[in-house]
Amino acid sequence: MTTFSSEHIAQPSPTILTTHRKAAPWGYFFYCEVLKIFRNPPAVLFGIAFPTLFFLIFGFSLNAAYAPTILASYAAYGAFIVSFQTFSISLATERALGWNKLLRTTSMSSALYLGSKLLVIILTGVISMLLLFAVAAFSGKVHMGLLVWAQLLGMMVIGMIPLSLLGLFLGFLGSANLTLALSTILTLLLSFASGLWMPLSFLPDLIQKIAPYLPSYHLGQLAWNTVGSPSGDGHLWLHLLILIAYAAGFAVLAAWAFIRDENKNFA
Amino acid sequence: MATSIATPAVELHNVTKNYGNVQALKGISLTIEQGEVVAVLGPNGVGKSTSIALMLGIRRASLGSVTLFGENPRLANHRKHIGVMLQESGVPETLKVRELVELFGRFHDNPMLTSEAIKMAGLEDKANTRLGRLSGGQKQRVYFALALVGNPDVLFLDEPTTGLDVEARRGFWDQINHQVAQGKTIILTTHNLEEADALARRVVVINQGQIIADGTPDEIKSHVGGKHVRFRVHNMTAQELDALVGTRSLHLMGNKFEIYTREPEALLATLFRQGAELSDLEVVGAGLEEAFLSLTGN
Repeated sequence: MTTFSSEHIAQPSPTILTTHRKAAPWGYFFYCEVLKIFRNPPAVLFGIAFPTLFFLIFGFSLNAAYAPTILASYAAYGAFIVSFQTFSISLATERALGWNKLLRTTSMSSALYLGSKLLVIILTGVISMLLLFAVAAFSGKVHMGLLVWAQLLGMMVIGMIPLSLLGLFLGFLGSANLTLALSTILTLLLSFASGLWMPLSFLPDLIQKIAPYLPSYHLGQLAWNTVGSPSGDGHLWLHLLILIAYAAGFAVLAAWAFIRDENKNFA
Repeated sequence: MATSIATPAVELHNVTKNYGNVQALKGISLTIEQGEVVAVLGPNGVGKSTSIALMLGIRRASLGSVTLFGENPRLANHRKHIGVMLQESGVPETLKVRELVELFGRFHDNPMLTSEAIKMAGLEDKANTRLGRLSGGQKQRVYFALALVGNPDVLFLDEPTTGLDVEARRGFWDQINHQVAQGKTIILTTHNLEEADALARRVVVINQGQIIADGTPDEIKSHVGGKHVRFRVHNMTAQELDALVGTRSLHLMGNKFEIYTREPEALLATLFRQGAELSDLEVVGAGLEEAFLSLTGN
C-alpha cells in the first residue's frame, strides 16, 4: 500500500511546455485574416484578379489614349468590390458560422476583431490595385508620374472607407444568404451604373441621371480625376467631400445594424 | 488556507435573464470555487446554456451580477484566464488546425506550445489540414485544443461530447480527468448523466430557470432515496409477481426482474412471506438518471 502511494507521489507531475509572452494576438489574427482571403477563390478571383484581367483585355484592345481611364475604372472597381462585397460576405459568413461568438469568449474584443478585418480588407484592396498598377505600368500602356500613381492609390484607400462601412452594415443586417445575394447584385448594379465597367457616356440617359447618387460613382470620379481622364468632371475635392458624407451616413447604418445584432445575440 | 480566501472562479448572484417575455433564469445564485469540477445538468432549453453564456460574458444578466475571477466577463481582457469549448460555434474553414490553435494560444499570456495542445487533442496527423476538411468528431477535438492551448485556469465545456461515439467519449473523459488532476477548474454542461457522474465532483441541476439541486453526484442520487431490487424467481410467473408488488414498477430484464422501490426491505419481506424462491438477488441504489428524472419531475 505504502509503495503505491509513494510511487504515486514520486511521479513527476505532468509538465506542460509553455511559452511565456504577453497576449498580443492582433498580428497573428491579421495574418490569419490575410490567409483566409487568399485561400478564398471567389475573393481572389473577383477582388484581386478581375480588375487586372479586365485591364489586360480592354486596356490592350482599345486605343492607348483610353488606357489611363480604363486603369482608373478598374482600380475603383477593385477597391469597391473588395471593400463592399468581400467584406460584407466575410462578416456575414462568420456570424452564421458562430466564429464571432467563439471569439467573444476570448480576450479579443469586438472592436479589435472588426478593426483588424477592416485593415485586412483595405490591404487586400491595395494588393489588388498594386497588381493592376504593375501590369499597367510595366506593359507600357499607362505612363504617369510616380506621384499620380501614389495619389490614385491613396484616393482609392480613402474611398474604400465609406464602402467598407456600407459592407459592415450589410454584413450585420441579416442572414449570410441575404448578404451574399444582396451584395452580389448590388456590386454588379452599382459598378455598371457608376461607369466602372464602361464609360457613363455610353450608357442610357436614365443611368447617367442615377449615377451621381451612387457612392461608387464618386469613387470612380476620384479615380478618373486623379489620372486626368476625360471621364472625370474636374471636381476631385467635391467627390471626396461627398464620399466623406457617405461615410458618416454609412457609419450610422453600420452602427445600427451592429447594435441590433448585439442586442439580439449578445445581450 | 490559501484556497479558502481565493477569489471564486465564477460567481452568479441573484441572476435573472429574460429573452423578451421569456424568463430563462429566475434569480439563480451559484459560486464555483477555483479547483472545482462542476457539471451543470438539465434538460435542453431550461437555462443551462444561458448560465454558461452569462459566465463567459457572451450575454448580459437582466438582473443580478456575474463575475469571473471577481471581474466583469463582458470585458475582453478579463477572459484571458479561461478556455472555452462552445456549442454551435464555428471556425473558419480555410484555416489549418495548427494556425487556429496558434491563434488561440496567443489570446493568453502563458500558452502551451501549439504542438503540445494539438498532441493532447490527438490531432497530430491533422495539424496541417484545413478545418473545412475535418469530420464532426475531429472538429470537436479542435475545439478541445482551442480550449486547452491557453493553459487556462478555468475550462468551460459546453456539451463537450455531443456527437462523439462511445470510444471517443471515453478518450475525451480521460483527457478531462487529466486536466482535473492538474487542479484546473472545470465547468461543463451536459445532458449525459453518465458524463456528469464520470467527471464531476459537484452537480448543479437546473430546471425551469432555477437551480433545483446542488451537491456531489452521490448527494444528488440520494435525493431519490429509492433502490433497484433485482432477482431471479423460480416459482412465480410475472403476473403473480406483478399482483404481489402492486403499484411498484416491475421490469423484466433478460431473465431477471427489476423493481424500483423506496422500501426494499418491505418488498423483500413480502416476497419471502409469499414463499418466493429468489436467486441472484441484488439491491442497488438508484443512479443519477433516476435522481435527475425525479428532480426535474419528468
